[in-house]
Amino acid sequence: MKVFVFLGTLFLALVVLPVRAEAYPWMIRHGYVQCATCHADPAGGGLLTPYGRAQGEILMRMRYGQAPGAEPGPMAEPLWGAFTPPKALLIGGDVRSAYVRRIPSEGESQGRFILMQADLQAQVSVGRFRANGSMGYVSEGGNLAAFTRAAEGKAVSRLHWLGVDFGKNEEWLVRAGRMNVPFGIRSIEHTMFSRMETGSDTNTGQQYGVSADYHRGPVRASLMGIAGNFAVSPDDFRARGYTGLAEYAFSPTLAAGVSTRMTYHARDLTLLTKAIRHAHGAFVRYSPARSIVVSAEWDFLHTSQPTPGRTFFGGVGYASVDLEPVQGFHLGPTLEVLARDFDDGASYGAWASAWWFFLPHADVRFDVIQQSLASPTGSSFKLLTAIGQVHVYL
Amino acid sequence: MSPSRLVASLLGLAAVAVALACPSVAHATPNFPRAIQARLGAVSAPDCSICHVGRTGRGTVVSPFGSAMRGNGLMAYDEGSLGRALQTLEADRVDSDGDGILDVDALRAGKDPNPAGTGDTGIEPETPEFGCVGRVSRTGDVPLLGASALVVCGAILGARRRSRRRVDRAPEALIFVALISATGLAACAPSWSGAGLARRSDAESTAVTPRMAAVKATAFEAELRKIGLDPRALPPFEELRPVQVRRLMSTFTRSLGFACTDCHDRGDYSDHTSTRAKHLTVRMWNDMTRGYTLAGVGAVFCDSCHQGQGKFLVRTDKSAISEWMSDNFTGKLEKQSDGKRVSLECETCHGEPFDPRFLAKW
Repeated sequence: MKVFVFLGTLFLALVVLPVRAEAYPWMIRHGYVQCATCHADPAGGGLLTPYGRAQGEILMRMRYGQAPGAEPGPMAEPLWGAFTPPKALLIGGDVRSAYVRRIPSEGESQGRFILMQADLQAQVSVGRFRANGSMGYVSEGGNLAAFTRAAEGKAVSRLHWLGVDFGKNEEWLVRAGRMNVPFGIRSIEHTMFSRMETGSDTNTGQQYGVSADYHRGPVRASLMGIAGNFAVSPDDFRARGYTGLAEYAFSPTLAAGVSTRMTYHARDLTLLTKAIRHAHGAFVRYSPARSIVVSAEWDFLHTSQPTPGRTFFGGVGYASVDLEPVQGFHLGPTLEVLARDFDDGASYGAWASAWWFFLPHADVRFDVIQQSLASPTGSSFKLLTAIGQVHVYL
Repeated sequence: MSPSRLVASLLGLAAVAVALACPSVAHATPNFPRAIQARLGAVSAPDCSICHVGRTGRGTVVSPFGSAMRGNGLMAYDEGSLGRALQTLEADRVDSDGDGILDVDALRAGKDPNPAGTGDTGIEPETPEFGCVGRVSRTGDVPLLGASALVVCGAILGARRRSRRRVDRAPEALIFVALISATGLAACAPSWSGAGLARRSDAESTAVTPRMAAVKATAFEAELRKIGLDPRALPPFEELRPVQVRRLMSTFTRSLGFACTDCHDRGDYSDHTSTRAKHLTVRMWNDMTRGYTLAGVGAVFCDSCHQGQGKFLVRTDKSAISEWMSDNFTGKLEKQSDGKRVSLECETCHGEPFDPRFLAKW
């Protein structure tokens, strides 16, 4: 029975599915300033450790009046307890589907269903060595993570890396491969200005390279040398440079950090010319009470195009509040701003979000996003986006 | 399995099924095709490929029409910017494929305003390619990939059971590496290698019998000026800005009837990889196009002679070539030299003594 449930779900996942890493920076409300406690990736997001799975069951989902138990029970395990992997193997998967309706200020509104995320992930550890990877299938999009080539219907692998843990307490991880890039606050809102403009979204923003991660006590830090995204060719379209962050927890519920990134693009994917992009900034997470988490990030952006000799100096940032009046139910406003060049107009966004972790391994989320988007020609327009999502992790 | 865990598992699987059942095909900017149809009164909504080359998504709005729209302020989802860009293209009388029909009029008639071959091949220069070398189709390969992965996952399960007995960690590592390797190999299998993007064979490229038509003034004068080039005073190719080179590419393909991969190596569009065709193009630009004018008629560009043909001289009839060159080159073309107009002579290109095969030495 267990095998059939497992294989059936795997089959569904593999045949129809696309992965995006999960990352909940508001877990700082529970005193978790280190991502490595719950995630295989010490910089956060994605595959969960057994401890992370347990916290998902104990601390994240709605308990419907029952006090959370000290032990998570078998529901925390993969496939709701149907499958218990050996210690050396971490396995997981995500399916996220959404209905998105976009209502421009001018013109016709459009609604559509999207398979936002569908993937399987695994990590095998042998001693201090780790192999970590994910794969899935997307019916459209996902170009930057595709490892097969087709206009529609691609197999994607957002993550695949090999790593070695070092240090007395394995506080160092050196790894090589395709990884989420360390920059700013890692969150699942991959379409936020901050994530898109700094190339650090967990949807398809991963890069190949070598990174060193440190996580111990109040400090977590990552530095990655970017070798490019080899899912894109020709080589001119690959960014090269570095990215990194360092965060210090002043208390179990207050952490602040800095990020830095510089990449050279022989041919930038957006500008289609040679470009050098800088992003440098700071971020903070703070939980003054268990039901409230405030997070904010600001990054300066500097982009230079040697030809035709243009330079842009701007900034991007956001401030977000996560309210959890009842365990498992979150409300949150987010304000964001983007100015690619301070001399030009700025874009603004306001999010209203509601998030309900209603069952073990399952949640639904609703977002209404009002954006005023500045055009390169100086004009701006308004776009209202409504999103309803269902998410299940295996 | 206890009843409560079974119920929870079934609920979870039901949620997965619901999540999977909902999605349908979506598009990068789904409101634009119908907005274009409405604004222009077009007979039909255009396909995404009029802007996107190869596929929809970031970095693929690089068709000549799409580039022109982006250059005039087009923004995703912003129908206002769409309207303004269309107005600008109409005011500037932009004709991306040089067929004499303005882009907006082509759209009104339900036609693709781009040159043939740039809409759906994914081989436009400076267009990023995504993925490895494999190809997965919805109908054929996906179940194969899924089935392969399923078999491997089954092997993981089996190995897990064995390893539970043996208390041995090595099988998981080996199987995981095998999983990644098998998936990679399957994806990159030759049968899915995207042969449609390969360079055209010589037989395909030269299938059309050349015809020697009279040299005429370029049809690209307005387009060249929009790129910032004076067709009567073209700069050396090496001095062109990258954005100008990019925008010139479709004038080359249209003038010569070439596919992008007739000049470019499919695997490397970079400026550093030289091919014979690229070398010839640059030399032609510098030595044979720059500065020439059609006396009393207009500017000369690649299309003036090639007129949609890569090779336009009928070399089997030398007397016909000689007559055509006298009529069209030495009789019609002029060149600016030291501020003076100089007529073209045979030795201008062929040198002294006369070399009939000078192109072969370029």
